[in-house]
Amino acid sequence: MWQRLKRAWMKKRLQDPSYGFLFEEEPENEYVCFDLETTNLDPRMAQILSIGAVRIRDHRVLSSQKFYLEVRAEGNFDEEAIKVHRIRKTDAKKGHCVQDAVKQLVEFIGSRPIVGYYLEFDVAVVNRYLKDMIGIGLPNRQIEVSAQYYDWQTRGDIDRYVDLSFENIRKTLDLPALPAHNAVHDALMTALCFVKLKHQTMSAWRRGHEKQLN
Amino acid sequence: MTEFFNFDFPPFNLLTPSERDKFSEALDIGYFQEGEVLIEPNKDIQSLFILIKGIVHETQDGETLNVHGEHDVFGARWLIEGKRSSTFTVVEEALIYLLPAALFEDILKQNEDFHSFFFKSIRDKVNMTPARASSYTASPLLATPVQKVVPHPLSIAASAPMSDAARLMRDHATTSILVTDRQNEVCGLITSSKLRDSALIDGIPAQTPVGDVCLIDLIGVNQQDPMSHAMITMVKHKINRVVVRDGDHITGVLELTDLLSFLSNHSYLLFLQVERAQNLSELKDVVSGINDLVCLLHDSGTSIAIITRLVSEVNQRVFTKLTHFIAPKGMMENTCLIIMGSEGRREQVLRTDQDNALIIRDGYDVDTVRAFGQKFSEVLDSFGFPPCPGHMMVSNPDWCMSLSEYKRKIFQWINQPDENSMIGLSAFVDAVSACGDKNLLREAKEYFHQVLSDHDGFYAMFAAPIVSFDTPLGMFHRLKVEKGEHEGEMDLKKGGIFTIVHGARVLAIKHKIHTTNTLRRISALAEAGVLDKRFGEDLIDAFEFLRGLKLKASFNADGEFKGATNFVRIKSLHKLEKDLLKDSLQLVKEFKNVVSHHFNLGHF
Repeated sequence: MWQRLKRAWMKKRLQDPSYGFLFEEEPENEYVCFDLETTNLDPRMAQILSIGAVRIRDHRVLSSQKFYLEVRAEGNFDEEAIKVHRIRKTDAKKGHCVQDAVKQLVEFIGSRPIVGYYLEFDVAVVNRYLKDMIGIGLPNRQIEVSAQYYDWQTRGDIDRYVDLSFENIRKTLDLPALPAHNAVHDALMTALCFVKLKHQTMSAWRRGHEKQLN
Repeated sequence: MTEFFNFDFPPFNLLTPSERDKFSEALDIGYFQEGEVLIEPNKDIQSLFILIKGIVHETQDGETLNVHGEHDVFGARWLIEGKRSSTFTVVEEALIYLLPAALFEDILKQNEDFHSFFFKSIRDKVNMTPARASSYTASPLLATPVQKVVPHPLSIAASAPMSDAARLMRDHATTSILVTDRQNEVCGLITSSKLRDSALIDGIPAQTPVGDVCLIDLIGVNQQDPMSHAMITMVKHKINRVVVRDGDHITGVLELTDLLSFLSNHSYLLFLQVERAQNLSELKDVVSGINDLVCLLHDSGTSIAIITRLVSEVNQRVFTKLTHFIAPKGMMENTCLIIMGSEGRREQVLRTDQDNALIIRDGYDVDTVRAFGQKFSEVLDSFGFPPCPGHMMVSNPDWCMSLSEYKRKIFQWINQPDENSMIGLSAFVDAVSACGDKNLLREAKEYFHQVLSDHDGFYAMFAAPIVSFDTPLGMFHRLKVEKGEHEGEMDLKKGGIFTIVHGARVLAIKHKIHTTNTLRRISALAEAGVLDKRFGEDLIDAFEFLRGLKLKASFNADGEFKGATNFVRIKSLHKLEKDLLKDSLQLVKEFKNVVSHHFNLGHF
């Protein structure tokens, strides 16, 4: 209910009608997982360096429909961040202007729900630009993989401590690590975690049912 | 962008950089739960499947044909051949790369190596195995075609006098010359010993034309034959040279010295040593060298087929020699020593048990022969041939009998069969004579076929053990096969070798093929149209591959012999070996179907 109201309200405030596709019906069983590399981890300051995204349909990660853009960044670089994503200032001088990159990302996402790991941060950074461009942030449904993982880990055992580091999630789910550390690969890995969690939960639920039936 | 696909394993290591880029770009990743069906019979598929993780079973009519694991590629046959009979089901949750069918077909068109990977038969895949050189390659030495070694031939006209031939030999430091007729075709061979015998012993004048004294019945090999064949031919006929033929024409002479200098290898010496042994202890020394020879040949990469023939030939020489040492005078004229089982099939690679028997001519003194049998077994035992666990050997009176007693036994085997008679019969039909009067064995076998001809129901019973061993691919999870003592290992004998050997054996009996060697039986069956020709070839390769694995398993990592075993550790195999193993077992399975169809074993 709240979601619907919120969407309606946002739709009203949308300044650029060409972004109306954001409010279309969600395509069935499709999702987009995205990840940003940024200059630092403060959502109010962070500059986007690159954007990676991948679509998901049913139980497939459509890695053939990848989205990857490098962004021309301004402002100060956090040295620690450079070490993680290996994008130096000189590299960041090339690439797309940030508004253009965000526009393309939003078009890639469409009305699909967004999936991510610590999505709040990435969405906040994107929204910072998007609000200036079209008056609203992303209206899409958001699915947080670490929250899904937490739910799955704590089935019936709420007080348990759960290690939510991405590496731990990946290992627990027994997924292979992809070689490089960039926005697309992070998005791909997150997408894999999502698909596996989703189907695991579904089949656990189904198994429970079958047990009942027997 | 960095590759997220690992191109280090076949066939993807065959892709070019630009193909790799397209490939990485086009891949999707699928996640599938246990029980999900990926490919169904008669339904189109949109992609090639490359398993990242998990296990997928390929089944047909409820039977598992193949177990796919990490890095395995499947769906190719669907896309290429439109083969649509089996079902692929996830048995352990699987992550799978999905390559769009259209791109796969594009790459097949562009990249010949990649193309042949999917189109080649098992034979060619063996050649792509990286570690092939260490185990399965024909030795560069023994496998070399004779024509590469045979020296430029010397010839002399048949009308030339003997003295010219002798001069020619002296001038060229050779001991043999081809003799040619008026049409310049080779019609004979003159050797130094023949010249010597003619001139000095028979007193034939030196002016006599060579054509009058030369050797006409020439034993030879084909110029494409491997050196090993020339070597074995010399041993068999106790001759020092063979002529080399190209079709019907004689093109040269291969001398023992040529062969030896070419080989500079111990194998022939072993034969000579057997021949030269003067007593039991010398013979024993020679025998102890056999396993060393096998190691040596195996290390140098000699093919299993060649090693096997050499070892069989040596063993047979040893038996013959031993018989000469200990048999009472006149005994061997009245008995036939037969060797059975794998030794009889010429498939004995490593010396294992004694599988032998004696057939005694009716009326000859049985006790004398039995006493000999006792002694013979003891000596072989002391030589390191362990006694046969089923006591199928000459020291057992049941396997040291007169011909008519054998006939009685054969009649009983066929008409009142039990489990033991099946084993006895299997051994007997593989028997070949080692020494003594071969006719005794021939007569026994003729009798066997005669009794069999009016007993059709027998075949089904004889063939039945083939279906009683379940197919290892269906039974075992991801080729990890045994539990308990042999955990993680596969019994190659039970899993495949036995099926091929016994299937070929039963079919051979049915179709009156008399050779005892499994490879020859299969070839003969293919020639007779009982088996599809292509299938026969593949089956032979599968058989050789399985036996190669078995032999390899008998050596440790340093190449030291650790004892014959039927068990191979699946984890010690590399990827392509595993693929070949799967392919081979698949062929075994098909063969099983052929045999069971042939003999109507469905109801067993």
